[in-house]
Amino acid sequence: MIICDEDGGRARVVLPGALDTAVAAPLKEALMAALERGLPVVVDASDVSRLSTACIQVLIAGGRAVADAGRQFIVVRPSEALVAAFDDMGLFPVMMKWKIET
Amino acid sequence: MNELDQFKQTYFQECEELLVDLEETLLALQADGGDSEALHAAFRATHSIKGGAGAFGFDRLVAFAHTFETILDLMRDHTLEASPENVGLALQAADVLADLARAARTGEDPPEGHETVIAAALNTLGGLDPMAADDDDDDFDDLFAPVPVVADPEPVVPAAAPGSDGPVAYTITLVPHADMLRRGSEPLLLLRELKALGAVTARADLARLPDLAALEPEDAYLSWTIEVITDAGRAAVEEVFDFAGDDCDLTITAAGETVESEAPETVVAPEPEPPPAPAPKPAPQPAPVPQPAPVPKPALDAKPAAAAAADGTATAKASSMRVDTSKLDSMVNMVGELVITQAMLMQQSQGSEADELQRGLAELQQHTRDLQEGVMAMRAQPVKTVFSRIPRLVRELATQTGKRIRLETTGEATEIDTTVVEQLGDPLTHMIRNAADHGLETPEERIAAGKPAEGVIHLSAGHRGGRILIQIRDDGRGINRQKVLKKAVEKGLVAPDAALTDEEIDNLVFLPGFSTADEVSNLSGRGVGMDVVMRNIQNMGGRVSIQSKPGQGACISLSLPLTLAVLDGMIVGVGAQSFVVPLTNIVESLRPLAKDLHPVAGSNDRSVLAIRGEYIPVEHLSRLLNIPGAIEDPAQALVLIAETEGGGKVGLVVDEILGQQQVVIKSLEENFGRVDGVAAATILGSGQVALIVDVMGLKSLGGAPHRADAAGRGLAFG
Repeated sequence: MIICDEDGGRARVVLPGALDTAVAAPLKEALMAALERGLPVVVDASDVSRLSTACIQVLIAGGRAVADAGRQFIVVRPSEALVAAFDDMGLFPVMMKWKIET
Repeated sequence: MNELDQFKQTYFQECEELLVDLEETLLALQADGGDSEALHAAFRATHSIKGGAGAFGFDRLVAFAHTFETILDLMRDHTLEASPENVGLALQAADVLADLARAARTGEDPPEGHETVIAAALNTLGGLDPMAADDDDDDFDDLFAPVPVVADPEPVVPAAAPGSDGPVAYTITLVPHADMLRRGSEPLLLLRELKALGAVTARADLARLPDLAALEPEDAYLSWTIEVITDAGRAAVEEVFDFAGDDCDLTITAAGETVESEAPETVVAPEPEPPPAPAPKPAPQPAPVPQPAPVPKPALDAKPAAAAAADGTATAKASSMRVDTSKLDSMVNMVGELVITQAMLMQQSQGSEADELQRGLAELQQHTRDLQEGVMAMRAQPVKTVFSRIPRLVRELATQTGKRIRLETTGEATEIDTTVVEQLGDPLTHMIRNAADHGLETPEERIAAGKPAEGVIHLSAGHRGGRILIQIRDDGRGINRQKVLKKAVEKGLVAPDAALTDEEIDNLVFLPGFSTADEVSNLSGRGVGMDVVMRNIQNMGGRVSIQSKPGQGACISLSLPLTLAVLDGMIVGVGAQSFVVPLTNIVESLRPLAKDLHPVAGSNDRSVLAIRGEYIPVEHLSRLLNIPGAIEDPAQALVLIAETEGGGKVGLVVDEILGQQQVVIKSLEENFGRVDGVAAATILGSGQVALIVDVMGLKSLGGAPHRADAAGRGLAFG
């Protein structure tokens, strides 16, 4: 279950622990919904313990869509698993382009 | 320090090394024309700098490195000629790259537009769209799209031939079919399996990733170029993709091979595909239909010679490691303590009859010394690390001053202690600036003086009598002694009637606040004078001296200790105290005959010692350092003849010689403060603290009357 709400003037998406391939579709929907709020988008990644390429692609596309809309894409408390996955896939530079809040 | 800071620090260290390599490679290119391996090396260095910079979000660095590497890429595939002009521009670009890297390190932004001129020149050269180099913050693709990695047939990392024993670098391109993820193959896992084989560098290509709205959540869009360096062999690498081979286009190339023709079509498009295009829907692929074997077999005739050479590189890489200097420092410290303990044991065992014990102690002494040398060798690095920054400086100075300057260096391989290397950079830079700014003449002046238009600055390093001698020699106009003396008198640094030798006048430039530039120039006259150089070098236990011949040039010599940790010293007694005199200073020691001692005219207690037709000034250590109870008559005491870097000698009067031993240097500055005439302190075998005498500093303490002012500031004259 992906929580998508508003929190302190920011659209918030809370990622579940397992970002398996099957989660990519709901994740996309959640990000689209967050994008529609017209606010900076915050992705809470503190619980993420498992990732898939599919979800990573969605996150990157989401980040880009938010940036293209001229708003900030913020990842809050990225878990070690998330950082490691991005790193292993040669995507750490992409991640470093996001605003990271710890 | 958090983890990210540590990564950054490592990155910057590597960056420094890469920049040095880059410059050397380009200089070599400039010297001997286009060698494709050199261009590859230059490209790789720039590319690595860019990669790391991207990871840490140094946008300006990334943008510039990208432009630069594009040009290098064009040069290496011969689209662009590696002509002297183009390589010259590349050198300038390397300088700018270094500036940006340094700025990223310090967090100080270089002036806005610092790189614009060179970047524009590069763009023009490569016929590039300048906008493409403008790295937009939000443009993720820009980071990754630029390098057509797959189309690059050259190995990115040197490596051995397949089948040889050393580690081999494989370049793998992994381009998933759209339905790869749905079919249960997970690139993340493949990458992690590869990681288990060896060092992996993955570069993701985002060019195919559509907009979020158009994205099919379970389609695969990303693709990768992966370099893995492993000694597990090709079979192990292939095995990783055993179950995924049908779900992606895959090539595995060992360095040295070329990609076979059946490799998939080039996949890295420089521009993202138009997003709304029918996303590569999982066009229901008929299950494992025979597909052209995606994995090219190792070429059997892989060039053995090149491979063997590359093998060496790969092995060498694996056999060195980075160690934090502080760890080495604490090791040096421990060895120092060991040396002291060993000295104490030696002392306590003296007079003991036990042969076994004596033999054991002698061995201990030998091993301790070996251990110490080993640790010192670990800390040593070639002076090249410092020298390598100079060519760029000289290029800049030549541009700024409009002078023609050639830099010659010798002895770059001379090894010196890391701490010395670290502290040498600034003084050296300053002295080179001085030589270029004040020493060398303009081409017109040189021609008028009958010299070649091009001035030469010669930088050399070498070992000399247990110390490192670094010399900066120029063939310029030399020191204008009249001007120097006039200035010194004006500033009240020297009495108007003082009779100074030429050498003494030359050395006046080291007095604090001294500057001969009529106007403060942009280069060397920024209120920081040679006195600062002098102080820096002295703080390292080194000395500076200058020799000048009017019209022929000047030579500044820096004499530095090999190490800042230990020295061989002679223990002498003066009054009730013990002192250590560095053995490297001592030429001989003797008890003079009264007839050889001659009083100096006009001075009641000064004398010179006549020895083998030479007159040597005699100084009493007790008087210089105010030690009571010492022997006053040199003929009753001992005289150590000490040599100074300038070649001069001085006779030091001490009461007795107590022995000779290796002592561990404990900095006085760090623990107490600077004392003129004293270089440092040590702990003797008896546990007693003894001061290590700074012979050169002593000479200034007892200097001639007109130097009283200088003496107060702890200046040494060589």
